[in-house]
Amino acid sequence: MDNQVQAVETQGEPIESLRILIADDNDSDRLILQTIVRKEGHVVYTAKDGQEAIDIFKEQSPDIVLLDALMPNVDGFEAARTIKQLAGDNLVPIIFLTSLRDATSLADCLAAGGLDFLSKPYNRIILQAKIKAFASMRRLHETVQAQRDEISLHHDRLVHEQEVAKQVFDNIAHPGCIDAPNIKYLLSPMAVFNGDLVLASRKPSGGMFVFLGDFTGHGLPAAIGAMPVSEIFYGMAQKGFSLQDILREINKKLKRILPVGVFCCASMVDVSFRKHSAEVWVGGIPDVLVYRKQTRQLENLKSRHLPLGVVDSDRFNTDTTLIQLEKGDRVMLWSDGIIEACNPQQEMFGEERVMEVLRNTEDADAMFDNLVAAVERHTGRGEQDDDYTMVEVTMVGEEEMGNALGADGKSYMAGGPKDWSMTYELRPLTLKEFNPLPLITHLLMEVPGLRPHSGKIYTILSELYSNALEHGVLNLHSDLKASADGFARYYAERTQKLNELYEGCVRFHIDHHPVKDGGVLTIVVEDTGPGFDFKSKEENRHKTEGYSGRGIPLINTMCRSVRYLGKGNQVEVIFDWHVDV
Amino acid sequence: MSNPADHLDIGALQDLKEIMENEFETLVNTFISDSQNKVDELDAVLQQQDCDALRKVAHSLKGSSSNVCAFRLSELARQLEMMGKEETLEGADQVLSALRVEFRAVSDILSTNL
Amino acid sequence: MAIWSTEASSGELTIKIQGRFDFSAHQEFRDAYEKVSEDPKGYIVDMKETTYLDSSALGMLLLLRDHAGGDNSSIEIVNCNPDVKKILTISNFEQLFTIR
Repeated sequence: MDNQVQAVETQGEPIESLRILIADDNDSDRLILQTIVRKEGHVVYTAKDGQEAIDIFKEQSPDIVLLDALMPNVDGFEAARTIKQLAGDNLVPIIFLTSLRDATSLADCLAAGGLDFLSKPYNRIILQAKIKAFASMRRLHETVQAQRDEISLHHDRLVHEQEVAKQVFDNIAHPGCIDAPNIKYLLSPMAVFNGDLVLASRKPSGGMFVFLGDFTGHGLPAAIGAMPVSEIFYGMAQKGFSLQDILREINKKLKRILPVGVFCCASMVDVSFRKHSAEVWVGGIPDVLVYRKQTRQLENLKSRHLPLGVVDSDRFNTDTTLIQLEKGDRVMLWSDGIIEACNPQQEMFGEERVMEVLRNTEDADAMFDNLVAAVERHTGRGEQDDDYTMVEVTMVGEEEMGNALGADGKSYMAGGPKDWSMTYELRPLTLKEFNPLPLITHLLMEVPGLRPHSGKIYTILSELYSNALEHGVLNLHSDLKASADGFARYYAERTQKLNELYEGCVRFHIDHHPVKDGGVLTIVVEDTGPGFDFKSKEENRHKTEGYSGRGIPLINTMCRSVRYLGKGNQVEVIFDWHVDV
Repeated sequence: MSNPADHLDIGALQDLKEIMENEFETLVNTFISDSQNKVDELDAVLQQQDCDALRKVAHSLKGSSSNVCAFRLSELARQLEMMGKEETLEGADQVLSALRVEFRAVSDILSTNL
Repeated sequence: MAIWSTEASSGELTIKIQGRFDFSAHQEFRDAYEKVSEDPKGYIVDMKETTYLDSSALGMLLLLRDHAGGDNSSIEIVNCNPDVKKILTISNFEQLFTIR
């Protein structure tokens, strides 16, 4: 048996040398124990009683403590409690040395902070095993502590970063005129980090835009999209652009900058207090509700579009639903946070409950608050925990909305170039390579009064330009476009002729001057082509069927007048705009 | 002369001797003098009929004697500890006498085995 | 949450999602369509046992669509329960996927 013990010694793993405190009031016992432990390769400190044990612990900070339970002058239990306190956050395993057998005494040892017992007579093998086990536990504990501290540091850093980011967001993605008297909203201060965004802006013409967005994801990635969206929204709204233009621009931006799979479910409302109507676009958020004061009925406006940032401009659809709103009628929008709000049993609040709360509310003005309260009751969480985003816009009289104009009283219409004209001539090299329409449109958009009509103006320019280029300069015949095959051949011919072009040009003559409460835009597009006998064409009336000739009649509906001049190689279009449109 | 094996676990004692090496002599001397004091103290507390003190001293002796492989001595100390715990001192005198004898035997064996 | 995929002899890859289709499925879903021996001729996403779909799942479907050729992709989403269908409807994903 002796040989066996020796064999274990030499074949054992190298033991980490620990610092071990041994407290036993019995001299011979203490002598035996300290010899055994020293032989294991550890550094040993000894104490005769509890007080001495505490003192040595303070001085030496041993890794493990072996304490006799019954000692004079502060017994083992009290010493253990004190040592545990001194150790604080650190794990110092305490092993009680005891011949006590009864459960009560052993329980007392554990209660005092002991982790294990070692009974007399001391067994070397058992002692070795326990020391090893507790040394391992100590190392594990230290690792966990270090990791915890690292995580804590990391977390603090993240929180700080978020706070800084939040300040930037608040400056850019601000809620605009959300505090207007006809709007109620629920938006937690950290909502942007849940991907929720609410924007509201008065329009220069007096109306109002409201936007609610819900980006996919959480945290910083969800919030980052809010910045470009806000900049575009407020920048363009303030300049008088239309809902369609703003959404198109936002979609284009998000499609470009967001990774595939990240998008923004949204709804945008264009409210006109003058016309008592609203245009609503819904892409990816739950049904927008319309409440009718007179009938106390609720109507749903369903999401008809893909969320923002999913498809390219050419597939992006800006169709809106136009609704009439009487005074007191209201439009309610929310992100899916409300629908998905869960109670402790993981049941969602759900759409049915939303409808129920709203239907059961007598007083329309209380609907919003009742719904918020109902959701809070359901989740059992207080207001400070909410990440639900909700907006209610009520139709009111124009006079209640106050002045949409700037604080200094200047009308936005007063800005921009009002009275000017220009000529822009495009020669063959430019005609081959350059599309002038975005540039010219941009120039015209510098006139604030024209911004609400950007779509129409682009259509006008586009039709006139393509006619001038294709029929005038390139001398293509539109009859070819009458069939599907012909269409393809027409464009093939167009490409070829354009490549071979060496003479000819297209000229734009544009004039704008103000009138009372509006302005007049005159566009003349001229080409160097042969023209055509427009008098007879006008008598024949323009063909409206087939693939060709659709353009001019359409433009006719948009403008005050459309006329051909000269040989038929000049087209003059007069477009009026007024402030109250 | 009684058989040492009746008083001490010879095998365990041998292990102990190997562990203690040159400290073995110190250990034996410490044990013997320490235990002598304890035996005398047992006498005193019994006369005073102090059950609590009896329990404590006997407990201590029980432990230390087990560590030097004196199993019989340890058992006798255990009996006294139990009597002190249960506060029944009847027959304690006899046990103490037996303990004294046992202690002498153990001391002799240990001393001669150095 | 578990993801199963099978390649049919006709060249279609069927990906089946069991349980909640949310962010935790991210890597497995990707592996299902990326780690194939040959480019499939079409994709079928089987939602028969899908209990729930969130916006990150919608994002994953968009990633699949992008991987499968964007506008030229052929992806069918089948066997949707009412809850799943509702989420796809609100997002108007039938404009991008064939939903049965």
